[in-house]
Amino acid sequence: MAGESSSARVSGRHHRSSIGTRPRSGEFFAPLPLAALALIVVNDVWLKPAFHSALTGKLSDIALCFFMPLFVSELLGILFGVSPRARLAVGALITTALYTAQEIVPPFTRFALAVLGAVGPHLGIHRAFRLTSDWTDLFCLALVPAAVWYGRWRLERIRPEPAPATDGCRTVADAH
Amino acid sequence: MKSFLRILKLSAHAAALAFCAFWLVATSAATGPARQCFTGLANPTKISVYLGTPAADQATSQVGAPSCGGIDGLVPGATLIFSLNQGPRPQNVNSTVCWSYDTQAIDGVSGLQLTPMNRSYAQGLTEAVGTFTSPTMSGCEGSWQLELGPDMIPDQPISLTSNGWVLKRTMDISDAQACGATFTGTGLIGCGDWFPVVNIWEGTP
Repeated sequence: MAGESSSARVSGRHHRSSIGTRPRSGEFFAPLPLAALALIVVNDVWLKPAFHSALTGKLSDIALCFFMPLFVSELLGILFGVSPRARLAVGALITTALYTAQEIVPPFTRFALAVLGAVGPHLGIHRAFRLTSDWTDLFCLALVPAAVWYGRWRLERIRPEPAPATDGCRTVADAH
Repeated sequence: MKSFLRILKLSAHAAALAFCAFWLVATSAATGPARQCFTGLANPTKISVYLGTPAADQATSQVGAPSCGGIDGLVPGATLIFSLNQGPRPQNVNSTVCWSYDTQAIDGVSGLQLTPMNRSYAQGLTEAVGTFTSPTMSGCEGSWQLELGPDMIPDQPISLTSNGWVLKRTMDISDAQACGATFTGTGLIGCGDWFPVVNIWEGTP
């Protein structure tokens, strides 16, 4: 059995359930999060000015609540090597906390505006920043668990780089 | 070829992360003309605002700071008269802000020196900033900010007769002790009040 397992690992056949193999990225650089990022850009640049409505007001929030947990998670994976499960949870937590506070805690909204006002000019953004406070936006947080689920699904599908042959030999040897 | 594709993928990955970080900031500063939020007002105009009583828990639920205790005359039952005018519609602002009115003067606030703000966009009908110097307590002074508008930014233009108007005034007092028994702290202190507007109408009382 040990020999079969090792040969399967080398051939890469049994790596689908490998969230435990700790890929450092892959949850954000994926079709759905990138589509959500594209949606927020299209909405902010074209749809909002053209059709300002409750729908365009919510679209960016919906997109943000989906890709931000995955973005934070991927950064944690790349920069600090945090395990997939933990970093997805932290990404969800950070997104939920920041988004909720920005919507319903006026002092935090002021703080966020101050931060944006300080950071913006360094990124070439010299316009005024505005954040709307609307508790109904909190419904968009339903996308956060969906993002976590998607992130886990993505990471489970990622096959790690094949192990070097020496590793495989050592594993087989160790198994015996 | 394989390494080229790998480098291409890494570059795209890095670019996506960088662009995402940028847009998380930029999304709150999208460009567009200011929205037409208000209708039925002359330009220039004077409006009167009759203040109601703030919620008992406003310090924690709405303002995030203790009450200013009416040291500038803003107390429940006070009537303020705003002299307003509206400049050209701003074209390059966050498209969620309103085409607002600039406050030229406010009657009913004591010790206030307004700082001109001729920009014609705000979250509500008008915003005003200035400096406060107490006429009765020496050294009791600081910065002063006010916002007047509906508690929710409407999708359609509204008139003064709509419900749910609020007036929020915040101050940063440089020396709390100089303001008598108004504040319990010392040194620099922030304070604010979130008044529901009982009545708002165009014209003077």
